[in-house]
Amino acid sequence: MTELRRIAYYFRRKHFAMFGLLLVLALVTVAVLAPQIAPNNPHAVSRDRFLSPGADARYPLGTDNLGRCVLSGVIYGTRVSLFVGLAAAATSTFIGILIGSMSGYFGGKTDAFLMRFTELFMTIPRFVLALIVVAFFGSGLDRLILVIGVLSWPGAARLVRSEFLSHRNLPYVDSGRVSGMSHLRLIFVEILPNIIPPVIVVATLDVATAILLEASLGFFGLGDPNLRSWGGMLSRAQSHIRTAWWMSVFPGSAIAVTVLGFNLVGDGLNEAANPRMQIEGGST
Amino acid sequence: MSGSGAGMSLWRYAAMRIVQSLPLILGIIVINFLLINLAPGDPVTALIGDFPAPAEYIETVREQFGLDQSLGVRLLTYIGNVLQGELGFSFNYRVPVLELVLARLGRTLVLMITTIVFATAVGLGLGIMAAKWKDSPLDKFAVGFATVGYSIPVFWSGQLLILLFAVRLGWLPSSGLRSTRIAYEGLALYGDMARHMILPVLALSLRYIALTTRLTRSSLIETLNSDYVVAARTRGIPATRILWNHGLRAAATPIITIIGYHFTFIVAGSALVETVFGWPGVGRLMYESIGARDYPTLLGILLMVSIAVIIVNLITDIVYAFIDPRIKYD
Amino acid sequence: MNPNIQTKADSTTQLEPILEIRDLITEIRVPGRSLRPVEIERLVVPRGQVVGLVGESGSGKSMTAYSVLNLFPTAAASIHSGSIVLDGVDMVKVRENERVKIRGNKVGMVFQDYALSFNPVITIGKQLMEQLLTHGRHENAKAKVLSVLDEVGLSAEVFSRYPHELSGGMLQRVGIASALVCDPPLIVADEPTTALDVTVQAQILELLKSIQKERNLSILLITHDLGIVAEICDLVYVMYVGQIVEHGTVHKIFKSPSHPYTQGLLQGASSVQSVGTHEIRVAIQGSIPGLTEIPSGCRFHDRCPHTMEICRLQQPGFYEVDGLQAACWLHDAEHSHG
Repeated sequence: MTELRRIAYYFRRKHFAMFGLLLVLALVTVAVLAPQIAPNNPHAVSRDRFLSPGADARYPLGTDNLGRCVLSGVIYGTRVSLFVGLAAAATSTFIGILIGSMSGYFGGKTDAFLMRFTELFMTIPRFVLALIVVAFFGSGLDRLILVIGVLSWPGAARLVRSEFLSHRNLPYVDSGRVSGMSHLRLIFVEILPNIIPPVIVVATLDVATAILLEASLGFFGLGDPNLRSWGGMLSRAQSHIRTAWWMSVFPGSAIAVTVLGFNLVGDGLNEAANPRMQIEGGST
Repeated sequence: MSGSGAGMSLWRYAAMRIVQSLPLILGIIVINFLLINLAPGDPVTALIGDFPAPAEYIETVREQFGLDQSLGVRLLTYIGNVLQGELGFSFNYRVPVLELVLARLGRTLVLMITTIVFATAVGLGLGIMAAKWKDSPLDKFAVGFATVGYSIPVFWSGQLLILLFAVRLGWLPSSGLRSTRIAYEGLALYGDMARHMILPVLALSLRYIALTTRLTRSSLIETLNSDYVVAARTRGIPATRILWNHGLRAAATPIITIIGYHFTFIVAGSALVETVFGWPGVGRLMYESIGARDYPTLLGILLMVSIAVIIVNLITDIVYAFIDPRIKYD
Repeated sequence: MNPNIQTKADSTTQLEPILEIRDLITEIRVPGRSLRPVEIERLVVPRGQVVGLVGESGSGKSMTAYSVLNLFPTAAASIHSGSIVLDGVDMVKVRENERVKIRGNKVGMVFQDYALSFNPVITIGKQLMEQLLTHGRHENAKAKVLSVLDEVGLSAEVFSRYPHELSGGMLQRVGIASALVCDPPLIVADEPTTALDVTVQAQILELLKSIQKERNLSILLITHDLGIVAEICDLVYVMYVGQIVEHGTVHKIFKSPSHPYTQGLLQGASSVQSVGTHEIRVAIQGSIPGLTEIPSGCRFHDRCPHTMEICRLQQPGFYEVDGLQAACWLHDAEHSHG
């Protein structure tokens, strides 16, 4: 509770963190209310192709090469990006907690083995592997989430491990151990709740990188074929970049603003939770 | 300056790290193997690609990779093949994958190295100035730039650069390795290629500069507030000299981190940027191979890039140990 | 009322003192206000003597040390007013680029946290060389560094060592070497032995003593350990909440302290030494007030066993008592009751 109050205090003082929070809340609102806000069906093709923004009141941000509404595409794309970003980050955080807690709690050989395993996953170029997996297994939303989540856990695992290392010999854990608590109980009931704040920081930053990764896959034509996503829109914009700038500018801004929002919130939480610690952002 | 004792342990450390990297390389090969065998349908598809290959060739591949054998034998066969540099054959381009990738590697490396040099210089400069004049308008600009720059996907910054400098202003070419209409020769050809590189390098640099600025700034601020810097000032070492001598030594660490440990990021970034700018490197090859369902090429690239990452990380660790004498003793 | 402040306690020397602090006020700006951790009317370090500055933690000793160099670990701290004349140069008035030439050259500083006073990734030799070269001593710089390492009892091998390769005692020797390397006439040593093991403490103290004698150094020794003061100092200044409350020769202070605070310190010290702890346990009730809650009048009045009416109202000046200078109303003829 005091932790929450401290963070709230910090966010009120640091405008950038507050700004990020507002951005994220606004994006969530747009995603939830997409059917109400969007002027058109995002998938509806029309004969009004390549309309520039403002040329037709029905399409405020213009239309693409198939005559689809760009604004509606951007609005519905919010759903895809946020859903993939949040679900993938939840997945990677979950895996990271499992592996990191085992590693840090048990130490010794378990730790050595799990850390080699983590190192392996940090080494593999995530984007290239994700491309191949999606190319093999298809690019449905569920698979995108799974692939991005499964390839993004090492950061969380390393953080959780180091937190567990510093907690495992604290008096409250020792006394729990002496009183005969099981390992599972000690890990998940006693220790885990104490390390939630830094885990949330990493999870928030992971949302940002997951969104970037999803957009990158979409740009390579590997988004969910049944949904309009920002990455997919930019992929299409690439072929018409000389004639239809609006096909690139609006979906691209949407990605940048969303990623910025989560990065700002993550940075803010990071500084609020631990002013001296700096967690490095991940990479695409 | 260091005695032979310290030198020995650096070598020992390097040797230890090399030995530690071997299981990682093995792990990468195993992951590739699993991908091939877990792929939907016949593993042959993953080894040949989605092409109407002649039946004889399919048989040859089956034999070469021991596809009728047990999984264990197949794994050993696969490892053997990879170690011999046998990464399969690209039906799309009708050349062995290794040859195909190596032929394009140079162009990608030129892009990556130019970016690293450029972005490091700019990010370092910006980070130093931001740290030196902390909380000044310049610092606020640098922090803002780094935060925003870090949030922009490289392929979109590429598109924006094309829109501004190629479409709107018409200053620079938007695509390709060189001009197709005029056949430049000699020095002019290099100039032409350099002009084609400007936008891709800028696009790829943006996030890199952001990251470098951020890390340089924070590590420099931390260093300049550290006790040993205060102590150095009590010895009469002027602030500027401390910044250059002590501060930059400390800033070297994040720079190496970015170049070394974020190497995978620039690999992914260059794949995307090459696609945006039609730069015929390995990244563009990946994009084309996905369209063509040329799986052996994709898997070959994955394997080669992974090994490159391991090697770069290895070098990074050794450079770290060289810069920071404390690491060897950990 | 007759505050005869100007009596010379330092009449032992005819020379101009190496360090003279006058009316020094050091302030720390915090949001909304400014704190004054140091308010020293006068502090003098005569040439060739060791002057102890004692007090509890929180009394402003370390801030005084930093004030001498006019260099603070935090940008929030600065000198508000006063003068600090170091070998003829006023560190308050002179420009920063002149001060840089004085620090490490005319005055060396030894820290409590020896482990934190050297860059962990540069060899000891290079850091000492850097100091010499910065101060324009290019000739035989390496030989000079080696000879100073030898002087503090370290082998030449230390030259190419990194800080983390040395023990605490060795590092503090390097700290002393760094203070000496430019042959300054004055050394400011801030709790130089506090962080060391007890056995090593004695060695370092012995080293400081012998070097002081050999070089005829002046030392401003900041400590909370009265045992060290007794062993090495010639003169003592006792500090309480940023101000000097009593000063004089070590002999007289230990024999017959005239300020109630000094009396308390000494009683505490004798009881502490037998236990072997390093904290002063003042045999006085209460604890040292923070800078935000400085009492009116005499700053010691609410802990003093002899508080009088005047103590709450007005700060005392210095009175000469048996060759000591004590800032206490007890020694004022009008107020003391005998």
